[in-house]
Amino acid sequence: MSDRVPNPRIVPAGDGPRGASPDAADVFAILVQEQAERLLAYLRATVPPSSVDDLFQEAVLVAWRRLGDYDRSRPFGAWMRGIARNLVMDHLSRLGRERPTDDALLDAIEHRAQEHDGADREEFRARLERLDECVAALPEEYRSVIHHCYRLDAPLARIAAEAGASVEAIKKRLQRARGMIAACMERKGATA
Amino acid sequence: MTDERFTHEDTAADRWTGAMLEVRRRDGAVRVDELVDRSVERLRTRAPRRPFASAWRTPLAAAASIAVIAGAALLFAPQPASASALLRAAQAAESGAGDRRYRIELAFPWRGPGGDAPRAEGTLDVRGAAHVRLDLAMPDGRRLLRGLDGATSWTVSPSGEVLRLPADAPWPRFIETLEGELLVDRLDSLLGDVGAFYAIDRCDSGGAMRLCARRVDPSFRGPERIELTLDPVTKAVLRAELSMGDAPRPRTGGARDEPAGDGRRPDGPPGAPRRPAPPSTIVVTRTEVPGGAFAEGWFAPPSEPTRDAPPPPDDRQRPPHRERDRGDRPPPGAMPPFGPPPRD
Repeated sequence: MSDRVPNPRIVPAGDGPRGASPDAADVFAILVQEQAERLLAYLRATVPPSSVDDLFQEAVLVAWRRLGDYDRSRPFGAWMRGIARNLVMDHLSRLGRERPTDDALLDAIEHRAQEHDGADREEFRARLERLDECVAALPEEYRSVIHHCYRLDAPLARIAAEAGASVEAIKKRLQRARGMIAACMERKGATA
Repeated sequence: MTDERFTHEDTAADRWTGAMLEVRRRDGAVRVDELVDRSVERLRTRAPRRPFASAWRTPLAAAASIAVIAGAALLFAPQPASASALLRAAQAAESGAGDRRYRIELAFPWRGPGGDAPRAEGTLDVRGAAHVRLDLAMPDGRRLLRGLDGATSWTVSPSGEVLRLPADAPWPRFIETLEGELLVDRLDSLLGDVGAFYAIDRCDSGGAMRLCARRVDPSFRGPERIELTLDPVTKAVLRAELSMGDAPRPRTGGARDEPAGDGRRPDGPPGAPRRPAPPSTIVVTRTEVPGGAFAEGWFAPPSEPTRDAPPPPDDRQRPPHRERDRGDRPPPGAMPPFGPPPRD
């Protein structure tokens, strides 16, 4: 299902101001909710974790103000990411490009994100769940660094100390692990 | 095509996979919905009173906006609330105080030749976290009666003697949450775990508002499935059915069941002959409190405890329920005087 036709199961709670007769904000919230995880993934791929929530909220606010500019022939998610991209560039320039990002890299990340535009929210979450299977299938040394990094939020220095390896070696191991996960996801038909 | 182009593609693929892992780890459905709610609330408060005013500048823009809004409204207005939104509403409903009575039904996995699965039934009365009264009838005719009245924790021995327990004495496993707290008293916590570690769907049936949760986080050792029936108006949990999945089964031939190698606490009385397998299903049903509130002294022991309950056998090796709990749990103070019955 295209994201132009959001999943009806994401309708906000029936009680309260966002009830059975939704106002414009309710409908907008539905559209945003449908895209939320994918927009978060885009932001997590482009900015430091501490900036993700703020930029998400800023993107929602800008999208709301510019809703009149939205071209219905385009996927809503892609339009939201376009807004987010401008915010990301602005944010990174203010950070002094702490995390180097240029247009070509953002294009490539956008290309990755577009591969999920044909899925609805439930499908995207199902793909996220399949990550667990791919992580579980990793060789122990790679599964361990993914586990420590993404599940336990352990700093690289500590992972390196516990593994008796250098930080650079751990970075490389993480990179290879992510590559194996991406390949596994492709085999499962769920591009990571 | 240049090497730089390939570098960008590789970097993008690496970052995207990392981002997916982070979303999987950090952005559960409940958190995402909360973030969306906060964002929308923010635009409600910060946006102009007529947020679409700028959209009406041109007929084309106006038509596009109307199409988006009207189309989505027609598509979605009659649909039910999402599972995650309902779960949050249930959490809010269950976080309140007040007297509560729950009917507890336990079904054990073991099934004797030609017989039904053994069951235990009873009630759990709760007033906040400090006043609790558990009264269970076991399938072998024994009665488990235990209470907490403020600082006084008590139980009644099989001989009818009222015994004093440490205030932090653990509850029988089958009535504890994974955090070692009372399951039903902490229903909002249980719902929090559902939001964090389970995939949830609406599974309304027969006009009842229901949520079905399936455990998806393999590191979380909670029930495999949880089915919740909600009050359609208040969203409070009317019934919770917890299915434990593949619980260990007792050995055949009446062999004695020793404490599990992973250090699980036996739920039987000190010296009990056998420790049965934990229940395979726990059903918790909210029922009315007689008269609307429990009588004064309802949570007090039937009489002054005569002595302390005997200490439990060694049970200092409770396993961590999940990674983040490792090493955090205090050792249990005492074991319950008796639990699910042995089976012959």
